[in-house]
Amino acid sequence: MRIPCPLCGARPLEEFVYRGDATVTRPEEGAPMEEWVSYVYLRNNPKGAHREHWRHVAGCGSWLIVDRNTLTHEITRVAEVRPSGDAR
Amino acid sequence: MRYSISSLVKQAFRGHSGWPEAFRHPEPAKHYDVVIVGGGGHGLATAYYLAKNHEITNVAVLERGWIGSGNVGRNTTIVRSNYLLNSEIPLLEWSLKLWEGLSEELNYNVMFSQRGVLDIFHTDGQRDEAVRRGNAMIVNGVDAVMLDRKQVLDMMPLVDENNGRYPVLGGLLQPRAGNARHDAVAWGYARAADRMGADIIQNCEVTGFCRGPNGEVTGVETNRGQISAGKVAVAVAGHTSQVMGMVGMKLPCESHTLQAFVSEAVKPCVNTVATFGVGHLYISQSDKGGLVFGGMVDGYNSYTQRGNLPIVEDVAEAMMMFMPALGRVRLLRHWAGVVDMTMDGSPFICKTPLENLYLNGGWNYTGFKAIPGAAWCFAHTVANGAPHKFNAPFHLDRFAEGRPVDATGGGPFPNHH
Amino acid sequence: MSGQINRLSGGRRINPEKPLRFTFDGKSFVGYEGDTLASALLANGVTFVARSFKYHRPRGVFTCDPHEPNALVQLRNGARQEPNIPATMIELYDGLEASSQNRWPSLRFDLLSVNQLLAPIFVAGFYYKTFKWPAKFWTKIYEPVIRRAAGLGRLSGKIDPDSYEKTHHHCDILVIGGGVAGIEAARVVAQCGARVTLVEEHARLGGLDSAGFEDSIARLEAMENVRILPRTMVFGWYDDNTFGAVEQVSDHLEVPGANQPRQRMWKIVTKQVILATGAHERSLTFANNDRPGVMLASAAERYIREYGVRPGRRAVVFTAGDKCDALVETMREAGIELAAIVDASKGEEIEDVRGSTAVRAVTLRGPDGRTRTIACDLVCVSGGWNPAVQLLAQRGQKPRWSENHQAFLPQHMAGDDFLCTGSLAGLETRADCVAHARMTGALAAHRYSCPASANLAEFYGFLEKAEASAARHPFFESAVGGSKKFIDLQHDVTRGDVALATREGYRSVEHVKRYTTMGMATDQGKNSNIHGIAAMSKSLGKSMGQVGTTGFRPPYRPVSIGALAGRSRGRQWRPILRTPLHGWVEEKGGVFVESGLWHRSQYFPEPGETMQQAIKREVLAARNTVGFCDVSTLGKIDLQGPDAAAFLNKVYCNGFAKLPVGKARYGLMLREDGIVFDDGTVTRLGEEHYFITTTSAESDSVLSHIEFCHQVLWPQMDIALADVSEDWAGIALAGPHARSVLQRIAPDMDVSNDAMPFLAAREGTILDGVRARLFRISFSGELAFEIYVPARHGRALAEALECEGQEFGITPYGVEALDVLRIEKGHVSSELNRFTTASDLGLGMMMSTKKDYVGRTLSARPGLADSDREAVVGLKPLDPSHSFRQGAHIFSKGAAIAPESDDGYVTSSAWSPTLGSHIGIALVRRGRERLGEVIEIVDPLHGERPVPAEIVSHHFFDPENERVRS
Repeated sequence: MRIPCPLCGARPLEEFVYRGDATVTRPEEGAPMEEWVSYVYLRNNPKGAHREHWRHVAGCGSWLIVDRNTLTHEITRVAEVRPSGDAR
Repeated sequence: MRYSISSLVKQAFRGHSGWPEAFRHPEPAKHYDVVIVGGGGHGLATAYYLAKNHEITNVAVLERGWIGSGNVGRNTTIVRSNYLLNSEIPLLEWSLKLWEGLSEELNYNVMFSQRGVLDIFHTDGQRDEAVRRGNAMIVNGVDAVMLDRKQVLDMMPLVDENNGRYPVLGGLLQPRAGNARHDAVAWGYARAADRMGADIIQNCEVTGFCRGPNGEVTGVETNRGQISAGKVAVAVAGHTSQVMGMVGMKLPCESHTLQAFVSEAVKPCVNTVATFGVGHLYISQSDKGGLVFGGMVDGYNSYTQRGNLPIVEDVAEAMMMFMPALGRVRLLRHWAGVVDMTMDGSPFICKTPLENLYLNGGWNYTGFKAIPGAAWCFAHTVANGAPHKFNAPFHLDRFAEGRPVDATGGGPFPNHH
Repeated sequence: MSGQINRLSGGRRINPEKPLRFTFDGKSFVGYEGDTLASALLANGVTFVARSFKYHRPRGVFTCDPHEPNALVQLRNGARQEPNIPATMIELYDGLEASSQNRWPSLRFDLLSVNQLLAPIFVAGFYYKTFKWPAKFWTKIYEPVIRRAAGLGRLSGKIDPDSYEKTHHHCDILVIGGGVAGIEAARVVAQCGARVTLVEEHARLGGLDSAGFEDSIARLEAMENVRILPRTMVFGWYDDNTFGAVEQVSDHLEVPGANQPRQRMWKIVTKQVILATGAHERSLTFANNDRPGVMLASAAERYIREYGVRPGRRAVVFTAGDKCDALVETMREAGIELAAIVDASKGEEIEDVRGSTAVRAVTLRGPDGRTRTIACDLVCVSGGWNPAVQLLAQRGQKPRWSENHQAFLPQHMAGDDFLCTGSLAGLETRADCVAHARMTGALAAHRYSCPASANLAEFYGFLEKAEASAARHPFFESAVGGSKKFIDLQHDVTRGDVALATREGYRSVEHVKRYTTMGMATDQGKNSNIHGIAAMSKSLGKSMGQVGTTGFRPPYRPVSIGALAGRSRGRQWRPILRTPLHGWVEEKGGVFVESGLWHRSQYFPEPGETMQQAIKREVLAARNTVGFCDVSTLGKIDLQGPDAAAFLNKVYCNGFAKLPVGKARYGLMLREDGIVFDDGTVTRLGEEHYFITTTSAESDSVLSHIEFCHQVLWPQMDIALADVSEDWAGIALAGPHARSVLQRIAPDMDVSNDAMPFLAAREGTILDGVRARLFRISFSGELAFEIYVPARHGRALAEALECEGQEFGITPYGVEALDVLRIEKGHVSSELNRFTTASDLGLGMMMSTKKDYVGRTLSARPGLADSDREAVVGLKPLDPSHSFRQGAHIFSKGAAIAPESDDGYVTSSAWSPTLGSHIGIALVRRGRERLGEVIEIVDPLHGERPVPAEIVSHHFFDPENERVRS
């Protein structure tokens, strides 16, 4: 598998680490416990389109959002989570 | 017909024309007391124990493809109960006890070979963990033996003691552990369950659940029609999220790819099951002569049943770190299974919040060894509507309660377990 | 040479000027340059070369290909001994040594050939039906016997002396297969200027027959944008067009040349791939079709034509309909007598083959049912062709059955990035292969130049037309004949075995494969699968397509483990991480210990000292005078920005908003699930500038985690993080004289207790102008400083400390002494074991109640707040000389040794020279409530007697913290 890193270009799998589902969002402070349990533990685990977090650990270090199909491994979109252009 | 040396010889004289089918190929009936979704090791064994222990014989096992086509026929066949936590050891040890009598019980040789599982350690920290675990095993009545460096090297003569990278400090051996013939487990349970009345229905895919007025589960929809059921028991491993998703349940689990490897057959050179504390390598040798080995999960969600090169290289590199005599052995085949990795590395064997719906899943990469014990407990849970004490810790609420059964400490990251 | 009784003249590959000596089973022979071991053996009249896996039946050379099922030999001797090599793939070299395998005592007199008599019992799956009783006997008796009998060749057990390499390769178009289709496709596509790589598993291009293509090959080789990789086999097609291939760099030599690897693994990434993998000829199923002398027709032809070898003198050709014109002509030219052509499409079949170690005759049965026996020593079999779809199948493509071609073809001949051509695509004539390959090359060139507009109509049209006009006769097995009709030659799977499996209810092709083991031999079914499927088709009354194929998995052909590992073996498995002080430690005679990828200094023995004595001396030095320790392995992160304090407040459970400039603070980091993740210090160097340290073990994961926190969770925070772990060398200086020593190396800095109290941090210059950061923090529990200097000055710092501290008795100490010191002090370390909460560690009061931080909410779950949890305590044995191990368990005095009464386990233990006692830290159920209780430390794993010990505070040494503040 090769992930087209927006900063470094297409690079091989071994340069990246995987974190998991990127669609879960951290609840607001004070949100009920169920929301936190759901955020940390529960996953849709889809067979097909999956939006996920990867980090280009052996490259630029960016956390990436990768749209990848879990049945074919086809990657359709990759973006920095925090566009580096925004950094001051 | 009972399988035995005498029936075999008798059949040899008749050109083996008299053997009956090991299991029937029935059409699905309209109703069963229990419908088991998933014709893998766990599903087939559950059907057997429902009949044997609970006299529930009006049972169907529905399999989307061919029985044993999932992880029961793809794993590296290790059977052990060398676990760490008091909450998990009893289940696995019960399973091991059942393994010890399984060939006779099923009248099908599953070739359970108690050649030992040896966990080799290389650092003080790993030794400390092994001591903690070995003691936990003994406290739970499980056999555990601490081996020193020399004893480890005697057991594993291929290990290069001067590998130059990590020393071999010793190993934790479970002598009663070992491995088995994976397909035989599926077929043996299928045959035994079939003889006790269960219908094993292949090429029957569950596409949905039937629900009663109060939301309770009343049966399943399949590509071969609707089947009503008193209870539905799901045991579909890597596809747990999909099947449970049909009733809107979201689980603390991700499906990952786990690769396995076998070499060409060579004369015996690895006589135990060995794991290494560095490099994530484990290795054994099949009775046919192939070296069977594996490593980590590929590390990302996947349903492909195929892996990528980095893990292939990782595993080979670990082999060449510790056993450079294997450089000229050739890899014959590598494949992958879809494993249901959970947020604490432990399974679910439980009632679900939906009435009449039961779940056995989330086995990570440890499902094979657990088949007899987990299915035994699952049958108990389905029959009684309540868990046996062995599987009581493995319920779905443990995450909300803050009582995960996390033996590696990997935390809520399935690929860390 | 007189010994080469079956050598003909004119073999295209053979150089008769260069005789090569070799031995087989200890007997000497001579072959020629250009021979394979198989061709050389055949030339010498050796036709019986192997025994089969199960029945130990005599076997000969069956193919001329890498997927040879029978003629597997053990090659070379000593540490280079290698089992299971197809003789058909071994390029002959002078001095080659090979032997037959899986036989004892010799090939001709093999005791286990007795298995042939037991064949009526040893049918498919017989072992599932017996050997079950008594249970213990399987592991002890039955299995060892089976194991010894099984296996094929033998490993030497010696370390592989050869080296392996890996290389990465990128190209625009990868062409797999160097037969005429691959050659022509590559030649045409390369004209567009794309970077083309052609991979061929044999030593030379040309495939089955390249006569007339010499010019094409020469032109291809001359193109600068074309790279040809001979002796290279593509074994796997992985995601995003990553291909694994292995080049046999020096397997054709007796030993690799100087600095030459034996094999090289290629990881090839390509934009497009042209598959021209060809097709494998298949056999036919008939009685005793495994006898030495039964050979594929194309193999016989190639042995004659390419190698100048006569595989027999009087031949019978058995064909499913092919006319075998080329073979007939070649045999005629070679003077081989053609006794009969048995054409199944005309209703004639072979009923039996006579002879045991060599074919003597065949019995034929004609359409009229009449039989005749014909003497012969060679049976050439032509059952049709199987396209080599394996690589495509690895991608999950289920091959498609073509009734016209009587073969499984690629389901998809083209995709966005691949094109199939040649006999892989079902094409049966060389003219078709060439025409379509050129078309394919042009198409690939077009895709390369303007990807959007390629039109595949012509490409598909050609294949459809070829398929429509194909009309192979469907024939796979003789209807007549006895029980020994082999489907899988190597594994001895017979027609009867497949029938038995289906009769017993194993109806899926995967079930039959697994029950009979057909297709699981070293050829992975390349010879056998089609016949298994044909047999199943008959038994089950299903079409070939309905039965379907089993899945093909990588590798395409077996690959050595050495090649897959490359240079990452033994000591070179992974890089060794060394601190800037490594060389200095080495000179001091320090002992190193592996810690992750690091080599850390463990202890510094003086002459004649044991490890324990050294540790004791080092501990006492730190306690009584002064010592220093390399802490460069700690993770170090530089954090800057206006939101830095707010960010720290999010990632640590304790507060950082009020940390003043010039101060350090201990920080505890949780996972979101409330379990402790890591600890370290955070120092505020400036208004918006912090320096963070992490544990050595978690440095990478902490960095990834806080980058996640920043980039994903709180991207609006204006901060920047940098990993500066490798930029700084760090030394902990500890002991009553630490300040005096420090003052000497930092004369320009005020390090007095007033100027630099506990937890103060200063930047300045030491050692005549070296920039340094000083932190007054202490892991040892002593008056201590951590000194950081740019990594290149680490060694100078160590030398300066040693020199300036000499009069105080300064002593370097390693991680063992460091561990003893921290256990005495009661600092947690191995207690951060991924099971513990802050509260378990006695650090619950650090958890802020005033802010949101990672791990806060889920820490409140009942299971994590349970008062029954195991908490950190100290253990002091009643008899101070009683030692105990880390990993021993804790039980109440007199409690039964059972899981219900298991109260915890020892996490740290040491002999404390300071206290004159063994001490330990443990996680004990309700531990903090049990101070003063005497419990038992049990270690049944080591057969030790329980050690009675008192639960005490884990702060054994200086609980008032006077030392660190002094």
